[in-house]
Amino acid sequence: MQILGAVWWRTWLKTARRPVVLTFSFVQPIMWILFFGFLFQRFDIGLVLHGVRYLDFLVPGVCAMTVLFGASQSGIGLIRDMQTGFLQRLFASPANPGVVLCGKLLADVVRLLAQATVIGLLGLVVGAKLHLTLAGLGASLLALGLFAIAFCSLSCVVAMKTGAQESMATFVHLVNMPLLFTSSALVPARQMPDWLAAISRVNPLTLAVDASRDALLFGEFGSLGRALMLLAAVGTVLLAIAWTTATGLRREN
Amino acid sequence: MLTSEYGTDAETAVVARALTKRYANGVVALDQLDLDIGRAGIMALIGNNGSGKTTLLKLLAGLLTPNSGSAQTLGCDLATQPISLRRRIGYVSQAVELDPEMTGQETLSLFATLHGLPRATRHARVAALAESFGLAEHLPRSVSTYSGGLRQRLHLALGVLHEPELLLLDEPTAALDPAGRSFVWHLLQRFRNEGRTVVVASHDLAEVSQHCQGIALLHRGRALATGSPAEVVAAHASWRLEIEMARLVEDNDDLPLQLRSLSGVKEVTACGRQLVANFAERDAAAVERVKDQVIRHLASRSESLLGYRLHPPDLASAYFNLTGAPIEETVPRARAEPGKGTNGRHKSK
Repeated sequence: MQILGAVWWRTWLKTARRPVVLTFSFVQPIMWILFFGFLFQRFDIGLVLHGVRYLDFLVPGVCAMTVLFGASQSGIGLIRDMQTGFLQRLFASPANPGVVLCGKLLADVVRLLAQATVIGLLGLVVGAKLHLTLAGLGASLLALGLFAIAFCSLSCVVAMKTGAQESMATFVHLVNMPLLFTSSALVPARQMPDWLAAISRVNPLTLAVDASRDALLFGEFGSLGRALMLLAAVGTVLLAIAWTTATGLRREN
Repeated sequence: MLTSEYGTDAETAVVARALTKRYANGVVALDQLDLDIGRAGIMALIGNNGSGKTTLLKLLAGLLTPNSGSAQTLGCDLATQPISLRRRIGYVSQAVELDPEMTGQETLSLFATLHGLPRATRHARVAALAESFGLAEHLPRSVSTYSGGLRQRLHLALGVLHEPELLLLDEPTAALDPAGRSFVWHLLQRFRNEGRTVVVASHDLAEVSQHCQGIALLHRGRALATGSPAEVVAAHASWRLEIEMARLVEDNDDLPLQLRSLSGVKEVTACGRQLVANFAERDAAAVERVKDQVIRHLASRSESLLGYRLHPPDLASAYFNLTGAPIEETVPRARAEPGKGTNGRHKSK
């Protein structure tokens, strides 16, 4: 537990020492809310979701998108540590490399959830209407948290396997855009072509967005159980792969 | 201290038997290596780049897995107990692996936690260590502002933070100024005096001769000689005469062969303007006679000399006699073929 806390604290220290990166990570989602929110102001989403404006619909989607974009870059910190040799040194200590990695992942997930919360609040400021309850917020954060664990783990696996910034850039571009545009983050699945809607239904981002949106817009939790179960399964598998990769890295560093 | 019996005991820190490490690219870094390292001493691994020093240290630290063979460190089998061993071993890599964005204090505190130091004593241990490494006043600063020497000190401090029984160091003095080197060797002596075992890879034979109780001479993944520096020198080294010629000695020059044919000369190598003649004789008077004979032969050929110097037997000579390559050469193994000359030096036997 102390090891988890020590690595968690180190990750936060490094985040705080790079305020430009942290600030910039807010700029992109705010632009999405402002540009998409007002660009599609007249988009009648009420056809499929009664009494909901596009801006209301968009805000939970952009919150999830913030988590997706942030999580996919989680491995960049590991690559910096690999390049300085610091990761090898961390893994050469008696601490379990899996626990060391989990400390970093935990800090990243908490940061991403905090960012998503701030983006949600900014959505309220620009006029989005959400059905805010403690249960709804909790359910939303839980779904986004599981999604963050899964994609932070995947990003870290790519980082540890490749050890190259270029690979991370390729990964971010290859994964983020397809995942975003085949999800219900920006458009309801019912308004997509059938083939795209079919992809959307198995997209983990859709699971997180729909669970979060149902909870935040309507106070409904019907889709929550299935979404959490599937996200937990994806998260567990990817976290296990990340754990194994970290342990393997120690043996051959 | 070196032992010859298989198995670790109270006096043996490391026992390696037929240890082999082959990397994925096919390079055989360790080839059936046998080595014993006694406790409470400083053992130096000497050898050229690619001789297997770093691989051996990483294997002993549990950071690499051997392809075959066995190694016991501090009585534990490396294959089955690598985690418990880590608390008893300190490994200091050749590269200084630090996070430039962290302060010295944060770095030491983080690793104190990772090594499982009790919370109650952690702060005191970090403070004491910083004091003894001359880091105390620098701890609040970011590592990115440290000089090279300060970084090396912090790097070393991390290796001994948990007071390991066995300290493995990979060329710790390579990038240091004389004061820094002196500091490191003083530290290692202190460790030895505390009853700990130190294994250090080094290229500096003078330092090794001065500070180490044992050496293992590695070449192509094998230990060619082990013992105290004096024992290795006595067994394998010879007197040598270094001659600085006024002209370049070409590869096809017959001069080395002619000198080799003189009585008492074991082998001759040439590198640029330098000729090195290794003598078979060990008696000082006999060595003087062979030297005079060599100089007379050069005079008979009307060779112009810039100077010459007679060296008593030392580790460099032992290394050369055992491997056929000078210790300072840095040619990768794939290109270094014994007998054909390396680093521009050719040898006449």
